[in-house]
Amino acid sequence: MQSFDAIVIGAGVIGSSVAFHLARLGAGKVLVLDRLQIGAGTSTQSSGILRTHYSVIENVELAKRSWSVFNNFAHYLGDEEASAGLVKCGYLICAPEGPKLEPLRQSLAGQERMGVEVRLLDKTAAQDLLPIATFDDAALIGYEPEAGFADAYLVATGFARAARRLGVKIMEGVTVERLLMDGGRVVGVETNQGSFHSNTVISTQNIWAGDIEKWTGVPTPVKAERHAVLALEGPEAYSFKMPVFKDLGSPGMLYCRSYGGNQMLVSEGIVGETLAVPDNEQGDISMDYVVEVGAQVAERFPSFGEAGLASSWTGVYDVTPDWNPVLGRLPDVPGLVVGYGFSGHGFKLSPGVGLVLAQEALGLPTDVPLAPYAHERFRSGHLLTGRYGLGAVS
Amino acid sequence: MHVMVLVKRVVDHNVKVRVRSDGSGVDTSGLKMSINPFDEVAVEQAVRLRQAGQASRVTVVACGPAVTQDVLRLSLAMGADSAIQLDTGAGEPDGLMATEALAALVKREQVDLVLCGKQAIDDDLGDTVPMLAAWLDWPQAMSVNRIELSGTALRVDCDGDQGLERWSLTLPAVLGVDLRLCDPRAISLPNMMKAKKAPISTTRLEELAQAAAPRSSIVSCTTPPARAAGLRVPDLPQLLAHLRQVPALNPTA
Repeated sequence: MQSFDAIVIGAGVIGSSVAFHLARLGAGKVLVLDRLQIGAGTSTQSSGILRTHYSVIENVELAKRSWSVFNNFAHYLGDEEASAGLVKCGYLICAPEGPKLEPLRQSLAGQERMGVEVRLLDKTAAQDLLPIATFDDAALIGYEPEAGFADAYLVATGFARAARRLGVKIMEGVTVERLLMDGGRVVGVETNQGSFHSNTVISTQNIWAGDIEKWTGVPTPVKAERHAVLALEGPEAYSFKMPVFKDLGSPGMLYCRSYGGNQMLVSEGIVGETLAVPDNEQGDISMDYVVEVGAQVAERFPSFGEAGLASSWTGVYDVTPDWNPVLGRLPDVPGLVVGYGFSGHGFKLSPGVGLVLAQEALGLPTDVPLAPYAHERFRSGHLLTGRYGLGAVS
Repeated sequence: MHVMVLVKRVVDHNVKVRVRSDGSGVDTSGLKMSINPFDEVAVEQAVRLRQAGQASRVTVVACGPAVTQDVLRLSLAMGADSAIQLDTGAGEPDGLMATEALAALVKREQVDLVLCGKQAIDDDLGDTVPMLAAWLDWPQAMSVNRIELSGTALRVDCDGDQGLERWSLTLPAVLGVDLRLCDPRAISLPNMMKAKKAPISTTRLEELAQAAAPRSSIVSCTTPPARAAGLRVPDLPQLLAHLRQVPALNPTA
């Protein structure tokens, strides 16, 4: 049986990032196992939005550290050919009078306290940044210049390539069937291609994290939730210079970004469709749904009322009861470190999460405290629920 | 001239299909569904004929349960004038039964030209056009990539075994169209909104088909065997030696 110093299950943005950070922290022999291919699970379905706007302050810290990595990706990886596909267009968020106004005000203040540059804009200034939108109803508009969007597949493969250069072994098409246990602690994994030994196993399995419950009996409070994304072709450009936009005033709490040329990528930031079994296959998007989202878009972007549907697809979130991830060790299963339940913000947080999970796996102090993200919170009731309620703003 | 376009609701081309655990067919529950891309081209062509004044009316027809109405609404949003759902309920008619009902519908609706995709991307059977033409005893053309209409004289370009074939047909006729015929338009949100409210008439398939039950059925459905791993050979002579053993490259007696 082959032995390793650490084994990572899953090679999405999180797993690849963990592997890279393990290697950089001198973990020794590291093995990554993916059931399909690097980034082929839910990572490639990400809309790629990058922001540090969160009402949960712990997330701001992780997002801030992650942003600095995205902003300096090639240098951070030590790979001059690496690119995150970053478009630094900023992030604009607005709320009308009503229940979302106070949460927005507090979250923006929280970001400022954390040293994030945030500007409060009047309607004219917002219009200058995003001339295709109207802000008639806006009671508060926040703008975060150090934000934008990037490409999750490039990031996953970038981390994986850098990890390989540092000696990490990544095997694709390998399914982990169970954890090998000895005296109550993890000593490796059994796969469809043989067993691999390691006293440290890190699970970054996203919607497939339910495997952990199957293997250990420890409940995995995560469900697979499918969300639809539309690309609308409008009569005018949504250019790369125009910011990502979060519309807290729309029923679906829409987020939008440029999708190149006259196209807008748009999706709802609320609760999606729960799947009985985790599956990232493309789900059906009815015309009624397109019409419903289109009507919301037209409220904010009048010219897009005439838009055509260029394409549409679905992505799946690994959602926890408080829409925040579980990070760290499972106390009942020594040797196992988990990172799951990203609830739609896995990509934004992937560099920071990869670092802290690698630190935790190696027994090093973590740059960001993991206690708030502990699995224990679902038993103790100290949930990380954000001020916006359930949904991917968090 | 009344044009009828037959459209089918199929699993989207981006979806990797899976066989149901009991082997009774392909599992489509919850998966992304689309209009068959070949049929979408047929709808586009029909709408263009009407916009050019060569057709007076475009009716789209889909065969299946209520969910099938999704592709009919899409066709209405593209510009079709009316839509008919041939309701199959829980039954699964075979091609012969479906085309028999379609033939009756074509007669009932006084159709002059039937357009549909030359095949559907789910089963790739391509049986609808020839069967329907046979029921109606109308001329047919397959793999049509160009249409020229003048009065009741129709000239079409088709893929033939020896290359491009140019056919002359007289209406009424049935055409199976290729993807190259034209590019379907993007559907706008206002047109979707209109199509959402448009009425769709429903006719039960049994009312139009003489046959009480399908005369063919699926015996079993299985996933194709996984492709065997390739082989690495060190040099050309060994490559040739291996190729000589490949059955397909050996003359049979």
